[in-house]
Amino acid sequence: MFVSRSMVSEVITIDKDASVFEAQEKMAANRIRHLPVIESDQRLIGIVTDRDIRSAMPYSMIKNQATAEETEKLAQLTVADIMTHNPKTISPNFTLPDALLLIQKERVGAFPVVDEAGKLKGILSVRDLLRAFVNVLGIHEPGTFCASKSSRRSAR
Amino acid sequence: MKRTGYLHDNRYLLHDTGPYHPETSDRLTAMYNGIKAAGLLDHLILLPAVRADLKWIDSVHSTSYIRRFEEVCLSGNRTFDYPDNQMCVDTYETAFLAVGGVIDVARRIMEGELDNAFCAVRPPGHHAERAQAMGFCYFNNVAIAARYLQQTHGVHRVGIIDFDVHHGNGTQAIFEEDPTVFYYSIHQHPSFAFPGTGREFEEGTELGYGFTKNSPVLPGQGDDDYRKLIESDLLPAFERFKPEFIIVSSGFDGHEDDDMSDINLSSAGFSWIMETIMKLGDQSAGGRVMSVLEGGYCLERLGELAADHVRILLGG
Repeated sequence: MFVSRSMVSEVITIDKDASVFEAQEKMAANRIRHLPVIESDQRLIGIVTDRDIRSAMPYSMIKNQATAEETEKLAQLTVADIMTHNPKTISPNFTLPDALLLIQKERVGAFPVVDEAGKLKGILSVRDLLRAFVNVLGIHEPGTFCASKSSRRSAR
Repeated sequence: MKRTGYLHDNRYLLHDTGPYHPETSDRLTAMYNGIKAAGLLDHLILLPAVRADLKWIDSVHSTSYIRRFEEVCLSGNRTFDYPDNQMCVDTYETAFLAVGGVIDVARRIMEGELDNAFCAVRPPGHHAERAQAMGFCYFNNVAIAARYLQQTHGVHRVGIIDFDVHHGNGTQAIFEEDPTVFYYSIHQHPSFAFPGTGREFEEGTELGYGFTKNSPVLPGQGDDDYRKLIESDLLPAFERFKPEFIIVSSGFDGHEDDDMSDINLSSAGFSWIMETIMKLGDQSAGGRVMSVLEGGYCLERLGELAADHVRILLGG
């Protein structure tokens, strides 16, 4: 029921001074779309998403037609330049319905989970929420149809 | 000692919810007996119920809802909108007396006749929405009183503090777009309790964004958690908002002995909450604090809780 039980605790993060290319490679290598940005004391200062990176890129680069000048210009950009500062966060004590309603309200793909001191404790994405609700509802396990079968039988 | 009003009227006992309902008339009797046994009755200014003028109820609820409530009630139906809203043929009239009594008390405070007051009314009100009865509530007594204060006495900023263990969805919905009424509620977390609203990210909408604040409390938590949340959420918000009048939705169902919740507030915890509210009232509202009864169902505890409550209103 609580976010602390469903979040990913081993969070892949990035430094604010890392380049945009480094962030892009990290996302691709780990097949993720959100990178929390933290200070050395684990305090969350931002989040960068695959969308932020795409928005920073010229169209020609997305099409692999970038000039050397465009590539060099982008290489100068750091995560701090494109990240969302002070992103919306949730607490490990939030319930799953809290997170579900808030993710719908804020229209984001993931929430960094922070403690009272603002230190990163995990991340909860839409995918994690889906998995959590599949588990809560038990719809991946046999037996779900028992009730409906027996009720249909008794209705006859 | 402060001039504290106590709205208590036997006509509030006429709202009959049947034999198995927690929101019974015995609640008011238990409170009255508790206050009397504590020797506080002589220090209070006892006030009778007054029938509300329809225009004040109209200021919050839709006319069609009021008419529907009247028709369903006077037709002899035992429930309204939801099965838990049990009623009798006197419920509609009693609801008018609850609203009218609270408005009359608000008037007396504004005119300087009283410093503060406790309104022991039934039916309660904080779940009632503009056109929807819910959770034993038909007319939203505190919301109507807030509108009365604004429209009759020129009160610009009304602060509502709701410590009933259930979130006051009705009060929040009525004022969520309104920056002139700040609604603060502390209640059992909506993932675990009726009515399922009052999450901490519900902060108002449109112009009213930032004028609603919710502090959900997890099951099993009690005095220390309430203290922490009130200090971090309510105090700074009201210090900024500076309400000119504070209305309290007082619900005693978060008591550790009350079966209606999983919250473990002690009697001393309730006293701390009320003492803190009184300090807020002194800071910006000239002590104008009007407490209005919502829930609280442990008949064995209500007498003691009501006595503590009015003792704090009287000034300790």
